[in-house]
Amino acid sequence: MTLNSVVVALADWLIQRACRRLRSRDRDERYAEWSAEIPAILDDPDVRPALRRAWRALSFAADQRRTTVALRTSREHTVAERFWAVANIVATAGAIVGGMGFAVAAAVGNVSIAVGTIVATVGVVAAIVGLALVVARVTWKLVGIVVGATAGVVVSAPVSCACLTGLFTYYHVAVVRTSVVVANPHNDIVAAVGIGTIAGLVGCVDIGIGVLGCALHARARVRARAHARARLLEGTVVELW
Amino acid sequence: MKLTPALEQVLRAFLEEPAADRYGYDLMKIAKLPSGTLYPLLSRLEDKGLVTATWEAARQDGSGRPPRRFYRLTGEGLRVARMELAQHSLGSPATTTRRPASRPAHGGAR
Repeated sequence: MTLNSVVVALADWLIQRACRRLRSRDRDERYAEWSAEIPAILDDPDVRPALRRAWRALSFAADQRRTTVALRTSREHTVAERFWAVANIVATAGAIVGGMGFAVAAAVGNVSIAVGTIVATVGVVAAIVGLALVVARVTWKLVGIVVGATAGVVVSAPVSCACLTGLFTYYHVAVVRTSVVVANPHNDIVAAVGIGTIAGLVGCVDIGIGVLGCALHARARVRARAHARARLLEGTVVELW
Repeated sequence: MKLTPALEQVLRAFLEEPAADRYGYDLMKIAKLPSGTLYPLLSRLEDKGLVTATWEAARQDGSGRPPRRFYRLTGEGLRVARMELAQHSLGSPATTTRRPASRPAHGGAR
C-alpha cells in the first residue's frame, strides 16, 4: 500500500460523499470529473514533495465536500436541524429530570416512588418539550423559539406541580399505611405540595435550559450556514451577467 | 452584473490562453482558488454559455488514468470576459489596489 493509493482511496471517499449531496442528474458526471483530477494532482511535477501533492489532493476532495454540504437543499437542512434540535432538547431535559428524580429518590428513600417520579416527570416534560419544539420550529426563528419556550414553561409549571404533588401525596399515604414515620399527616401534605412546587419550578428551568440550548444550537447553525454561503458567494457569481 | 474577485481570477486565468483547454486543476493553480470555489463558478459559467466543457478522449498510454474534463471560453465568453474585466479595471480602484502585482494589462488577453 503506497501513499498515493491511500490518498486516492481517501479522496475518492470524500468525493463520493460530496457527490451524494448533488442532484442525481449531476452526480455521476461530477464524480467522474472530480475523481479524475486526483491522479493528475498526485502526478503534478510542479508540486514537490510527494507529501505536498497528497495534501493538495486531499484538500481538493475535502473542499468539494465542504461546498456541496453548504449547497445542500433547504429541506435536507431543515430535517437535519430538526433532528439535532430534538436530540439536543430531549437529552438536556432528560438528563436534568433524571438527576432530579434520583435526588428525590435519595431524599425519600423509596425506589418505586423514585422510578414513578422519573417516568411521570420525563413523560410530562417530553410532551411539553415536544409541544414547545413544534411551536418553536414552525417559523424557525428566534422569536418562535422564545414563544415555544414560554409556552413550555407556562404549561409545564402546573402540570409538573400537580404530577409531583400527587406522587408525594401517594408517598405520604404509603408511609402511613406501612406505619413508618408520620408525626403529622397535614404537615406532610403541605410539605409534599411545597416540594412538588419546587420540583415543578425546577422542571420549568429544565425546559427553559433545553429550549435555550435549542435556540443557541439553531443560531449557531444559521450562522454557520450563512458563513458557508458567504464563502460560496465569494466564489460564485451573484446576479451574474 | 457582479464581478467577484474569484470570478475575476477565473476569467483572467482563461484569458491567459483563451484558445487553450483548461482542466479544473490547472485553473485552480492559475487562479489560486480552492476546488469548492472554482467548480461552482465553472458550472455557472457553463450554464450561461460562457464556457464550454468537454471530456477528453480515453487515454491510450496505458496509465489507466480516467479521462478528465476540460474547459474553454466560448466566443461569447471571450467577448464578455474581456469587456467585463476592462470595465472592472476602469471602475474599481479598490480591487486594483488589492492585487496590483498580478493584474495583467487591460483585458488580459492576447
